[in-house]
Amino acid sequence: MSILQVKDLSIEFSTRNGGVKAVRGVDLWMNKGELLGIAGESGCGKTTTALSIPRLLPNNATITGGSVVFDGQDLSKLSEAEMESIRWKEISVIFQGAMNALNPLRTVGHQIAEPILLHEPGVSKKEAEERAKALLEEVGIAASRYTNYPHEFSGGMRQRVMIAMSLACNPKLVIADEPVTALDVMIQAQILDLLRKMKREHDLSMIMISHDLSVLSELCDKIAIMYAGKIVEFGDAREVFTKPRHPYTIRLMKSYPNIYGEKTFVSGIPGYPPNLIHLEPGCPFVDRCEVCMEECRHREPVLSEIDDDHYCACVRGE
Amino acid sequence: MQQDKESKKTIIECRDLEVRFDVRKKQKGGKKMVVRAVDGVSLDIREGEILAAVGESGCGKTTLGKAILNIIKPTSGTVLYRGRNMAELDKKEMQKTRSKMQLIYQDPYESLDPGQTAYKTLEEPLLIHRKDLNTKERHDLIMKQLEAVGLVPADIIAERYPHQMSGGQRQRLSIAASVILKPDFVVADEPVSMLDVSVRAGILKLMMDMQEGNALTYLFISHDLSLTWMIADRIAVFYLGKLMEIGDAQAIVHNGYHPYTRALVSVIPAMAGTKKPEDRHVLTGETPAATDVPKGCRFHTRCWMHMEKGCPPICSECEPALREVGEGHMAACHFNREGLPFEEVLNEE
Repeated sequence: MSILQVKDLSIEFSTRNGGVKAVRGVDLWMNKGELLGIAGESGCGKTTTALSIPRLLPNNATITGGSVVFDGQDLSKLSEAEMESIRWKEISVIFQGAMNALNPLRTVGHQIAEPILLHEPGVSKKEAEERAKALLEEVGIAASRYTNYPHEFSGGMRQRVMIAMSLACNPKLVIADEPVTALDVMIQAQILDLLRKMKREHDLSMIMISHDLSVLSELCDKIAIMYAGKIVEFGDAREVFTKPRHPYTIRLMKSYPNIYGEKTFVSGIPGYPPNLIHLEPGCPFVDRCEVCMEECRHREPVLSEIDDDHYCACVRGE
Repeated sequence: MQQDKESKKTIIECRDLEVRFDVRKKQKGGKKMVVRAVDGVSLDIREGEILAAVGESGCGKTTLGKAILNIIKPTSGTVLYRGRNMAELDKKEMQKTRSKMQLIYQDPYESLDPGQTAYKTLEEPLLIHRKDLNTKERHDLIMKQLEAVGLVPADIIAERYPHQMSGGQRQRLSIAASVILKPDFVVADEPVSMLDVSVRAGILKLMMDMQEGNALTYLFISHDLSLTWMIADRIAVFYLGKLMEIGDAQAIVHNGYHPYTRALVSVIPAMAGTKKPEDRHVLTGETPAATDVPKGCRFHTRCWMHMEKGCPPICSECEPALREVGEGHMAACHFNREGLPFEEVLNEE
């Protein structure tokens, strides 16, 4: 059963230098209970795409087109007040940078209970506190630390608090923005295990944004690879990771050393992503692509199905 | 990358190196505490090799790098650079040695002076250490260096300030500044961890190229085991200021001895479709504070093997010494790879 369907989504940021076309016609969909990974490098539009679902974009961003259907409801038609009732209760976000996403002046318990009190008017303070304490225990923090402040926690513990907070109002969809970036490998493994457990126990659907393909490859059911504001490859995660088709995906995967494979020097991708203010026509990856053809310079390929549950936006695949 | 190890001389020799920091708790009562950042580390770095120092935050790998360069004064122990004790050098000799030993910082966004152009950044070390050059020679050398690190066209980039450059370009400039004095030993502190993966390869490649032309030795500090596996000749694994295991990069990753090393390797995410061993050891809890290092083996409070073996007292009472467990492979654990007591194994042999 489909829980999310994003169609032809476009987002533009107004800046001093002109309009940045950060997201350019993105199509995405996922079923209930799935974990969708969105991968790509800095500035590819992955966070913007995901945060536009609960409409949590900065003031200078405008959604210039497209629709977001969540659980049968067209979110793009909702007013700001109606959106407010969706956030936390239906869709919650684990923001990037656990170090800084918490309010340093409030106890962690208060910060977990706050969304409950805000979004569920019938709940008493006492009840909210009970629920917050139960959540703390669930993410592996003793309930006795309810009255501690964020600075009394390590980075990994703060990320646990963020996870508890995101689950405070029993949402259906959780968006985790780079949940393990900046954490040590061992803590990263702990947090990923915790996210997996919470997803299972709370019957969640989840979107995970990451620049780290290897993390997503272990976790995701579905994967979307973004480049220059577009989805260049999308589909069943196993399928995409074992049979990548877009030249960008292939190069990106080769940028990670694989200790279980042959010891070869990672190749990286020479060059830089295109300027999203003045975009040239054609495929945005063309200048960095080893297999580009003349046609690629004139026509931007569209995302099309190349295999069962496997979509790719490359002239060669169409 | 792989060098003939036997024929190589030692360039850096650390003996029982210790770095301690005194800290005072900010709360009332203000008890004095000691952070044991580097706690008795002995290791050799061989000429022309890349030795990687890996471990989690707070394991002392960065402090070790800085102590070797004498940027942080060691509390005790010695560092020998080409056989000479760094602590005994006078000011003039120290300055000369400094130009031979350089540091590449982790964060290209903060390590460069925002008020200096690329040209000035490269000119400064030359003005201090290469007084023999005239203006023209200096200019030529700077331009050559910019081109060598791929910052082209050099004459245009030379006039740029750090904020006008991308992260990759800044790191290229940092590398240029580090190698312009032709050092023979460079400590690279997480040189690519702030960069996008697609840019990383280029920077690493550049570091390798620099090595070939200049007979460089690297101490490569990183938290990323798979990355160090790819580029390093040897890997040294640190935990709470102590060297836990050191050996050939391939041996550390695929035939690791210490339970800590094996845990670190086991949590490296694998791309779908690659075969990965089953035993995954996610350590619970977090690294204890360096002000409060556990007694005995400092890793025993989180050690999966210690738990599997029913918490033998030897681990919590006695600190294991680093000992040879294979060719050029040392580890500090009371047990062998199969979990048998090391002493018994020795006796049987």
